[in-house]
Amino acid sequence: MSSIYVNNSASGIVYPTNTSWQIPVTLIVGANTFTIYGKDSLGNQSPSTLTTINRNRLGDIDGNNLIDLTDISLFATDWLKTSGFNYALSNMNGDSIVDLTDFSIIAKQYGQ
Amino acid sequence: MKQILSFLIFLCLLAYITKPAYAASGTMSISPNTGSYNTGSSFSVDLVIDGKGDSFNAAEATVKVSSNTQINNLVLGDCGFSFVKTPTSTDPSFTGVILGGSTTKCTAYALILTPLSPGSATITLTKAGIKKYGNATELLGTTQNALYTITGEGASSSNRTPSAISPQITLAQTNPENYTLSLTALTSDNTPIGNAMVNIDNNANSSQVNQLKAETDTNGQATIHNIGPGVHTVKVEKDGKQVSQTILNFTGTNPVLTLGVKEQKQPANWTIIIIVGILIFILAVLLLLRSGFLKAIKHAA
Repeated sequence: MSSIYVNNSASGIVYPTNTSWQIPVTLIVGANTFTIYGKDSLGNQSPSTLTTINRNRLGDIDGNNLIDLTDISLFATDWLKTSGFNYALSNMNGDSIVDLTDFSIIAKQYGQ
Repeated sequence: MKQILSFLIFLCLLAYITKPAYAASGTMSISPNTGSYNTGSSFSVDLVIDGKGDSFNAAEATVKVSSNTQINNLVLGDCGFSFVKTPTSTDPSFTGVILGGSTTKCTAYALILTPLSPGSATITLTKAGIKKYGNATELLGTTQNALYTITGEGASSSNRTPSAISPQITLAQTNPENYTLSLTALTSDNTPIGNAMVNIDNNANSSQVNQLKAETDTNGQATIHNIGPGVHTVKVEKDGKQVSQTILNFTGTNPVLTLGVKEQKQPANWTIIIIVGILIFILAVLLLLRSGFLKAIKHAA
């Protein structure tokens, strides 16, 4: 492959090594879908790969774009856990423990 | 024989196919939900949450009490909820969660009510939900409102015994910068706990710097001002022992949160029990050795 295309554009893509590439993207809240393919020096296109990256709002554990009773119910199952979270997004401040700080965050977001 | 077996298998398949889909059967109710009361006479009702055998860890409801009934106090029950929306005497609506645990049935709180005028008094539950522990599926099947008959046979307004009245509150248009907690500490049999310390801890999202505290009076009441908005841990201690611990969210347009907390049963400290047991065992062995009991057994053998 000589070039990579993300959503039909090669713009902004950098190649740190011969076998890797990077592109900075801004994720919107919700599903972010990217169609990725490559082209060789002759312009032959590879099959496309579809990749979806979900970005959740803070406190939106189940990813439905609402912070509601479902989210605090899921969050509470991880209370005071330091690993093996049932829901990785319970640890909202990324400090490796689900505690009062996280509860404060989800409480502040509640209903929004 | 083969035909009978086939018929039985058919019946089993039919029963499986036609079985009713899982229906949420949990309930949220006011207990008692009927009755006749006199104006001016207080009575107490519970808000009961029942998962009907299923464990739950979160519940919420918008709770409205008819205007002809005054809420004298709201005392938190045995759900062990931490509150995202804190129920108060002014607004008993709530959103609570059991952090790190669950229950199958509990009382969210008790309302102490005083009917003000004859007629019908109601308590209605709307926008309610109960979430199953683990996967947060909805358990609530039915809500049960309350309808009371209020008669005018109670004490007249002229000789009525004054009851505790929630502070008059002027609703602000925006959330207040600081809140006031008016708290009543009670034992499990509703006896006021006097001379108990009420402590409010800071939290990471609060701009509050110092820990706030106050001592309850002989009526078990304490008032703490200047509480920053957000989530705080409210602890009540008496003679160095913890009476209760509740996580409350201070939010909304109402600057005064009036509620009561009850003495919580302390779980058995198994570590101390085991250590004491081991010490007693060692002491017993030492005493036996000293008395020559083991030596005598050995000699006899």
